[in-house]
Amino acid sequence: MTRDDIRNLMYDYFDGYLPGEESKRVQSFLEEYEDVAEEYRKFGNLLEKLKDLPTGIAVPPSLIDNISDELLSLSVAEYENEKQKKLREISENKEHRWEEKSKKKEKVKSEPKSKETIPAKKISKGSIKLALVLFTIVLAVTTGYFTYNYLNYNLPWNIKAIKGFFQIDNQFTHINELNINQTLTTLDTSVVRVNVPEVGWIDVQPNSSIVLRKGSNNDNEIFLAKGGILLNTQIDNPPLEIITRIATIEDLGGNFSVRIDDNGSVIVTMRNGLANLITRDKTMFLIQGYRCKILSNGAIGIPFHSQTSDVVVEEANLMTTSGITQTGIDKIINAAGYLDGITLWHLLKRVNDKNKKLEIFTKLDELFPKPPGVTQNGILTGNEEMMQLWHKEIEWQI
Amino acid sequence: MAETNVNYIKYLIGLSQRGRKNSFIELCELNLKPVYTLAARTLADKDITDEVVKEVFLSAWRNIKFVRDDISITAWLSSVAVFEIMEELRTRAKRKKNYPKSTESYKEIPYPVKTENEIEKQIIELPELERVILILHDIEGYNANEISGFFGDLTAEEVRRILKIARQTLTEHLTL
Repeated sequence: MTRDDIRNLMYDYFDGYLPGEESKRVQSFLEEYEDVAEEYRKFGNLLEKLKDLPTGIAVPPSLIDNISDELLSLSVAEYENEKQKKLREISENKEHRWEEKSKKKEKVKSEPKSKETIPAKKISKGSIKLALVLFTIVLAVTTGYFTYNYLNYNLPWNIKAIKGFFQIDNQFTHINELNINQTLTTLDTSVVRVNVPEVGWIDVQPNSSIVLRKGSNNDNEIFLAKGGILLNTQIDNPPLEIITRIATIEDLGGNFSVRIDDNGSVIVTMRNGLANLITRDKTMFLIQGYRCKILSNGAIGIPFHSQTSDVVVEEANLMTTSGITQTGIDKIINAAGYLDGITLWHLLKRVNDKNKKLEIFTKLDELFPKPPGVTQNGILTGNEEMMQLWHKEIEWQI
Repeated sequence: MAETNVNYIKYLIGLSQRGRKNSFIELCELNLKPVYTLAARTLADKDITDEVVKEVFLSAWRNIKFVRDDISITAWLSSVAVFEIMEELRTRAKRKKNYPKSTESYKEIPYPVKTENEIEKQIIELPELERVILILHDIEGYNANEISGFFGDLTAEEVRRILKIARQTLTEHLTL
């Protein structure tokens, strides 16, 4: 092998691309030719540096905004496609229904008019066998269902006092387990962590009381009788519902708190994630950073961002308890910033006065320009589809 | 990125898979630097890099539901980036075929990528094919067979030959 042969082969040798014999030959020649060995060493150094090569290339600061804008236009295009798809489905369904109707009419025409002409059915051995088979299947499915449910129970839930003492069913205890229908109560200064398998944990705050209603890998439910809880749950968790006397809070993964105040109102504060607030006649998604009060009569208040200005907090709270006022709207419009998009959106949905609606619309449009497919007229006339589309676009930008 | 809480990343991926764009944007921000660096080094053109990086993240958004638990999001995004970069190079190759006078070397690129790092500078100034193969092989860790598959019209042996030329050029030009 010449020097040039070795020079040519040393890269493949380094990468392990050479067969065994050839590899050994290159190795021995590398030991022999010092100048080639030096080249080989330099090349080794180069590869070492390339492994973790720091970059001196600057990312343009506007790029992330451009990506956001592209995503925004993409979502609008998706919305348009979805809309076209729905329209197609509706028209296809119409055609299908029309065909069915025509077929039925034809069938009625061809069917014998008198029932007397239809021969009476006789009970045969075959039908008894069929009934027995059906019965067995139903029995097997029912047994399977109950067995599956039983196997899915994740009970009892483990509990641990973080601070102070606690009671289970009004008895002080050292047992660190909570079972179905048991009530866990904390005292003035105690905090207890409840681990919900596969879901996350619930910290029961001082002077609070919860009842474990359901505990399985498919369904978890607690009743919050008084006080407050802090929750930390995973996004892909099995469902967890927090039931109160006036509302149900459906956990959709995140870090949030639920508290019942002295007036019996429920206050939900989202730090991260998403929750669904459900009352007798209303449902509302609460997004991260927002707080919302549900009054004891079941009315869902105006949500506001936890870090918004005092003016917005005060007016949103005031309008939640005493109803929407012109002054309140004006104050919120004047003080509103980017964090208040959802608050403005809710006001827009609830206000009836046309002029005020227009003022809120203008402010919201200034902060979060309405996406294509949403029109001023549509929003002012309360087009639900457009409202939802706008909400979606505000939500992901906050 | 490695320092960022793994659970938080998983949480963001979960939210993105459920259609929450703000969580996806957060994922983009966390991975923007490595994706941008890879695209800028291989494409060497600032404007084209910006466009390709945008396309990488849009493509990632369309396919986020396919992200598995056992693979890191950075590695997944890097493979999406390689796919988009190769798409761009193939389009560029077609353009060159139709317009033979189009950009060939770094000096002719209208908006070249700028860097302060000497090694990176030398890599970016390599001819296109050498540059791409060297980055994919020696920085991104793909082997010659995989790279041959990306190009379609190059054999693994040709890839190794071009790689050798790129390495020799760098070894000669750099003080190591």
